[in-house]
Amino acid sequence: MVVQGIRKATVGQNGVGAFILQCKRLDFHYCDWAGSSKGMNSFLRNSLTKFAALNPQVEITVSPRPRRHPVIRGTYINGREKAICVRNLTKEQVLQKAELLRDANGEKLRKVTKPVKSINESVRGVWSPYHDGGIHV
Amino acid sequence: MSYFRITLTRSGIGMPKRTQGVLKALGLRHRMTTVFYPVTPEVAGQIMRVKELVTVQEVDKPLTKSEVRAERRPDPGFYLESAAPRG
Amino acid sequence: MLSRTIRRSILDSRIPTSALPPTFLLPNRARYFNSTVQHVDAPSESLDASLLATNTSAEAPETVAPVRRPIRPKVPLPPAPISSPMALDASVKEMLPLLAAQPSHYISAHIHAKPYLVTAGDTVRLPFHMPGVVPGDILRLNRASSLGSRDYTLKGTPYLDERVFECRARVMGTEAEPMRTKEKKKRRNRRINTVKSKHKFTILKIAEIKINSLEDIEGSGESV
Repeated sequence: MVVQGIRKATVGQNGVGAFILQCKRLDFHYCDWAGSSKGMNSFLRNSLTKFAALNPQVEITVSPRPRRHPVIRGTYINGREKAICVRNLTKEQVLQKAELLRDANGEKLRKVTKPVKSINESVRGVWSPYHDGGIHV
Repeated sequence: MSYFRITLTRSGIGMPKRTQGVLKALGLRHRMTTVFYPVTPEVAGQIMRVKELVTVQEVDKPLTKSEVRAERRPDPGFYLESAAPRG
Repeated sequence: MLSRTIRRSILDSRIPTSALPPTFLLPNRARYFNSTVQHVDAPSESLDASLLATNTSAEAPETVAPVRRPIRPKVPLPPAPISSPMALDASVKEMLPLLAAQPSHYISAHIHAKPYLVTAGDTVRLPFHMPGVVPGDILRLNRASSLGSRDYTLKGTPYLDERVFECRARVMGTEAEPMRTKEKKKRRNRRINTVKSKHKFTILKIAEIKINSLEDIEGSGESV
């Protein structure tokens, strides 16, 4: 007997039933010494706890990155990463960047011209000239 | 008291000076501007001079500029049914 | 230190749900009223305007505020339930169960008067950044011009009654486009101005398209 895989009847789509935020992790890298990390350090001290409490579904890690510019790196459920350098930014700007990474979906930025993207089959089927009452000559 | 609701639907460009002057007197500066005037013979005469350029309705009450704008603004078509927790 | 905390509390825009300016609420609500009235049968123009006028006067903050505290003033609030009973045509009553019985459906939902022809599970990239929503929110789309299945289509004039269907969309997040640069140059002049722009767009996922059964529609009309 041949082993057969179970065929999937439907494709799981995030947001149709359950919803998972597409950003799963945010890494905050800072440097204690460098001036470009000033805003980042202030953000880590003052606003990060609140930001983390507001977004419990995102794993947040903080780690030093000495003698480098501060970076926020987001990891997404599609396997991609996005990193933003936040050198010389103020605390509020850093928060904005963190929110940007939280709301993003990890895809590469591309220009989209069609607003609707669908994986469903056409509801009304493909039009055929032979099944539409025929041609009256 | 009823009012004329006058909307300029066609531009006055290329019209004789007299016609453009009537539009100016009515306060119709560009297309799709709407003005309200009480129904009087004077206004009726002005409308007659530019009747090819405007659409006229008789209404009971004049609307303010913001109300006219709100009328034209389309419905958003959505509302927030259940919000995600946001602190 | 104190000044810093004060500044932080002022600058942080995500918190002040409790401190809502009622002036924000007013035009939103008033407009809403206007738009819900328009598809109830033939309200006279004067009635509409007079109600608007009373709404904008002193009465409004007291009446609006205790009803429901909105989470944010930027997103439209749920409209008041429509009290008028729905007048369905006999042919619609006959065909609607057939339409609902077919397996898949599409809907042409209008957001800010722009139509989006969607089925359940589709991703919609709105051509704008929707203010005041966060990922995970569920929006109810209540304007549609047509609703159909393989063999049947219900068309609105110009919009369908919003009690016929339930369409929900999930806010998935915000996307951006690649940075656009445009070089602006005038003739006979060496100066080149480079303009940059990068827009943000809200992504929605159509979570559900449901067609209400005739009993539900008529029952809701009577109870309200």
